[in-house]
Amino acid sequence: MQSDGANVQVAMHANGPRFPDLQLDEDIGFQRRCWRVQRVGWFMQLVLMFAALVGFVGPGPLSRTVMNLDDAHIRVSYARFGRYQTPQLLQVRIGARSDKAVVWISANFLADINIERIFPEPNRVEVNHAGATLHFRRSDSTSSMITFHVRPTCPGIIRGRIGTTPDRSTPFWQFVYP
Amino acid sequence: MDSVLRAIAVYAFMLIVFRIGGRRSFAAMTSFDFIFLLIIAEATQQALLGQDLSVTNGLLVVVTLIMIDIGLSLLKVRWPRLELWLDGTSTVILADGRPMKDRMRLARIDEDDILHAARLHHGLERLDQIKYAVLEKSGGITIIPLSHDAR
Repeated sequence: MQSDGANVQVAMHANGPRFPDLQLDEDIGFQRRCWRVQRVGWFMQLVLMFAALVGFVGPGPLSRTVMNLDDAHIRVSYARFGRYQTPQLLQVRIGARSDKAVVWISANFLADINIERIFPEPNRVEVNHAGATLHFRRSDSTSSMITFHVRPTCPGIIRGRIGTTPDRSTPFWQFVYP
Repeated sequence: MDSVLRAIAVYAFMLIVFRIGGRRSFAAMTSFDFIFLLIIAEATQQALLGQDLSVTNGLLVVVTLIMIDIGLSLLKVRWPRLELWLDGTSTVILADGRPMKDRMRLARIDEDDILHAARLHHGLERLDQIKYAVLEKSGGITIIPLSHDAR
């Protein structure tokens, strides 16, 4: 019998003491199980908060991904974990030793995102079934940073390839939370 | 489709979070608790509407939420066990003037909460004037005072 400090005449019940003069549909066994589940739920919420802080549920340290392409002349950085219809950045740094400022992005990635802005704006864009090639003007031979402001248009895993040409591209993926 | 799915997802999530949060989280509301509730409502607004601010989307979301609520209430009538899972059960936390410490600790209630309810509804002064104190499904505490002779 569980001692709850009650000093009443009670009838024993499989779920604990009952109160015969109180017409109450109490199920203390179920309630105790609920309290246990609640505490597990609190722990899971804490884990979720921590996961968000470290970037597992969106932008953050864990989410930041850097790819070195084309013999490290091009560096692409983006968030591995994004959120549906939430703005994010995809940055392409073209090294000083790269002979031209060209970025090719595959069509399957372009289909799942909405490019809202590109800074600097491309000089010329060529599009075909495989993807889009963006040409940028270079004023000198220093490294250049190109920033794409994008917004995922569907949840789930988004795949694509990025590089200077389709043949010199690297696959990448991103998970977009709903 | 998006509107209905968002409404279902947000309703289900809020149901789970509030169930996990426990009954006392929102029953004994102070001014801060009220503001906190408004902030939660504001946080869910964007999740419900997304980028679509049309009247149609707003109406669809409202209709979906109401239909879910009605549907659950009908299901609860059909299956009492579901009502138990969704709404919980009333719990006696004090009997014959003696608090049931174990239950109170798990429910995150202290004697002050019981005394507050006793003063508020019955003008009672002490715990030993209470026959039963019950933590209801709503999170409120109902007091059954001892009869005048017993006091």
